[in-house]
Amino acid sequence: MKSDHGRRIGELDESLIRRSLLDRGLVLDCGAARVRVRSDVPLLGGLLHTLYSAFPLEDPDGVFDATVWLRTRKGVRRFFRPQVELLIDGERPFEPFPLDTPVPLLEWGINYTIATRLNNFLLLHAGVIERGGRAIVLPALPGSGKSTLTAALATKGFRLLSDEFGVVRLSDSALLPLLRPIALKNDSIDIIGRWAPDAVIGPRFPKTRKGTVAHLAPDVAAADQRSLSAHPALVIFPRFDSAREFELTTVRRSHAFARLAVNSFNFELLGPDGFDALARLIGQCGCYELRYRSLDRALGVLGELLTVADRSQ
Amino acid sequence: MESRLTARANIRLVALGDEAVVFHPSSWSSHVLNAAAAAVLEFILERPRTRQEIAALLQELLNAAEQPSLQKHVESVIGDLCIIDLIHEV
Repeated sequence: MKSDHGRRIGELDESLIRRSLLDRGLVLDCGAARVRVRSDVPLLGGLLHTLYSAFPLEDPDGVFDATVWLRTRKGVRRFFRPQVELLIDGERPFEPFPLDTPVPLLEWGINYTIATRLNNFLLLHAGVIERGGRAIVLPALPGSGKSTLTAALATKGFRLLSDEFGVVRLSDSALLPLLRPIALKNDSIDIIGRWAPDAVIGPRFPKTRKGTVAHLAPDVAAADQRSLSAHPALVIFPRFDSAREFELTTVRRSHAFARLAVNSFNFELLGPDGFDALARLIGQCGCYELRYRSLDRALGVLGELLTVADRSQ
Repeated sequence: MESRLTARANIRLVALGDEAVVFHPSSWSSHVLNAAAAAVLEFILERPRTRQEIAALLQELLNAAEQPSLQKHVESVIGDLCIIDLIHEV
């Protein structure tokens, strides 16, 4: 798809972004998926300018995986309780949100779209980061601290492929980027703010159904490599554990397979293709459970594991 | 003539370490198999097998402590594989 002379969204004036959103839309090329966003919410232009700053400016005419329309709700209630609603190709999958929280609604809307439509790939519910072409898959389990760890790694020398979706190519099990801002929740916002003071974190949205949410913007290197796949090397089941300094235990590959399958968005839907892709991916990976308290320690160990995995190839 | 155990057609069996995962072609369900079940299924996938052949295989694979309960192991593995419809008796 045609880029607009190599310019990035962050190089545009915010008023131009607002105009694009009102007109033909702003295209977010996330790598494995392309989404066109349209909106009349004035706040959204500035927020996308910040959070998708590194993304290339693309021609809004073309083929997209979805058009997401975020619009202010009409009707008499808007005088008392202004709301924003999300339409995906004309359908409204969620109840409206307060007008001042458009980004969480947009991001969850894009997640919903990808999870329900992108069935040409196996979609794992996982963060994915990469170094030297070798990827670490960080599956999302409740309380795992997956986004915190993904953000910590992505701001210290690893390339972010995705925080939400492990996109597995069916033909060879390579991992593809699906680059989006990382949604940090509650305490993680300050933890990552202290961990990477130069990282761009957007405004906080309190009182969402996941508590307070703020988004970490992907950097330029990640955006520029959003079409570059990585080979799976490690599957790490993270678990933040304030009571334990550190513990790394091996997970049987067969059990890792089962845990990833259960945690996938479309494993059952894909049948034999999903089975083959996941079995191939697991067969190439070392699988571990990591309990950690210190991000520094976790970063060091994952770097070492990746180096060992590199040598064994 | 003694009955044999045969595997359902088009099963996908992938070894992962000392265990295996298997895909059922009709139900599209996946299962994790322990070492004994994986070995027996792979053995039956080669060609239909009698219970005696399966017992001989497991006798070879099981450790000394498990040998006294060999017959129980054989029936347990066969029963489990039959329940999830990966094998059946002919």
